[in-house]
Amino acid sequence: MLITDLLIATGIPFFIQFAVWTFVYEGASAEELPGYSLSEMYLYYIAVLALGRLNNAYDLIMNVSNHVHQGQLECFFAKPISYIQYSFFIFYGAALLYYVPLLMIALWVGLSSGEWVGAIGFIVFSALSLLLCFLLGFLMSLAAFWLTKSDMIISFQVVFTSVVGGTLLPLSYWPETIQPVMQYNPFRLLISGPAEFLLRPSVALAQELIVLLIIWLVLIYGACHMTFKLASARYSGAGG
Amino acid sequence: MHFILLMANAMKSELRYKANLLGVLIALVMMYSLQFVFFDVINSLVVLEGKDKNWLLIFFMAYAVGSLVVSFFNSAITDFFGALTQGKADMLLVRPISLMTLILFRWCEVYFIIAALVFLGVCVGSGLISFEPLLVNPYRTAIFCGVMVLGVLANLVFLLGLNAFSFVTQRQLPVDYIHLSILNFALLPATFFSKGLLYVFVAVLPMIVFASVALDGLYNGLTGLVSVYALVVVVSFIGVFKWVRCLFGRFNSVGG
Repeated sequence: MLITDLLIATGIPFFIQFAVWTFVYEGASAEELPGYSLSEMYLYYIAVLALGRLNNAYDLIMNVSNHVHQGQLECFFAKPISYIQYSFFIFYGAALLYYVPLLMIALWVGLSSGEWVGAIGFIVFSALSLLLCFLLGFLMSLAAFWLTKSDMIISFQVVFTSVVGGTLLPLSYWPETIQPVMQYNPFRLLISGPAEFLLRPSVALAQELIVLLIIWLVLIYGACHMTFKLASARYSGAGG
Repeated sequence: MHFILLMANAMKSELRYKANLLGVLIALVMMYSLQFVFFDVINSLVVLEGKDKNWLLIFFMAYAVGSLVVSFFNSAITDFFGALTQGKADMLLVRPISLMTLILFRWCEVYFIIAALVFLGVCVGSGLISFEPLLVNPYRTAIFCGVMVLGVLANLVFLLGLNAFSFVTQRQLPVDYIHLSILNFALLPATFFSKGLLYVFVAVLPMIVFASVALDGLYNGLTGLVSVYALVVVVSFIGVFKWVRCLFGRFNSVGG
């Protein structure tokens, strides 16, 4: 599965972005292009695609939905660990393998450029993004208590991480009207935030990402607790 | 007209979960609309020699609508072969409904078609695309629509051809995942390839150049590329149709 993920799910989107941006940079004059050079653009897409594989809450949402819809939550309530903690450790364990490509990217950037601030920041922000990804995924999965089918949650998870998160386009390339949404949404912290820091590390960007991360972590953690409390109160355990 | 009944039943089934249906529709339209913005950005950065300024946006619209229609069939085909390999489709196979109708419509998800229509509305409403090329010459517009249909057929060839192995192996293959990944290549316009490579794709994997060939038909009429594409798709569809029927004869329905 890991090989399929790397070859198909990561390799094909990268090839497409590689072809598109090579074509764009060859056909446009440099001053028209905001942000990155062509080589930086390649690195951006390598990083965001690797981050997209790391921060993938698909399995988490499916697991929680199945537990709710099949009435299996009681087994978890009986365990000496809360359901949110249990889900967190399962999620972290499954994601760890996908952290290796990020370490390799950071190592390669650090060794090739001799600049380690961006590489280390990338590793740190990526590790923190995994925590935010879990909370976002868990919050989305709690909709399963109110919905009979979970297709909608999965669809939104895909849209938010793949498009709003910055896998499609770097922040500076979005039209100005959309840019504030793309800059301050929590999904940016999962995908394009660490990649931006890898390419252009700066104190201002680090401060922006840290402040956004703290605000979103607090908000989403609070929302998770409140929603889980509400959801547990209406949970009948009958499944269906 | 079994397929109309099957589609109506699928719609009724979707309408039982209204919030889910609405949410999936919003998510799909949002995804394609944001990709449309991506293509608008790319369009503003490059100058395509000898091409209408609109070309790239119409290309993406064709890709998006085509891939949504293909997803409608993809979900049906995947679920059919899933049920088949688990031995759950036997009750259906004994009914007087053609095998192809069952494969293509029994498990279809109509919201993909609704999403395609809504997305077309977004394209019209956004005002970013000029639909003039589609209105100037009805003959070329008909060719464009014809190639779009052929594009859907080309995708069905791939999906049916690979899934048909389930008749022999009695196991479901991850064809939808492989198909979706390969279909992503259709996002690359033909201008990105050399002419030779384009003809290689037309011959080997026609599904990944359907939008480019449709645009060729729209702007240049019945070209050699369009004719070769039509020939390849029709011949391969007939071949796959026979292949599915042949392998179905070997299916023992044991499941497991």
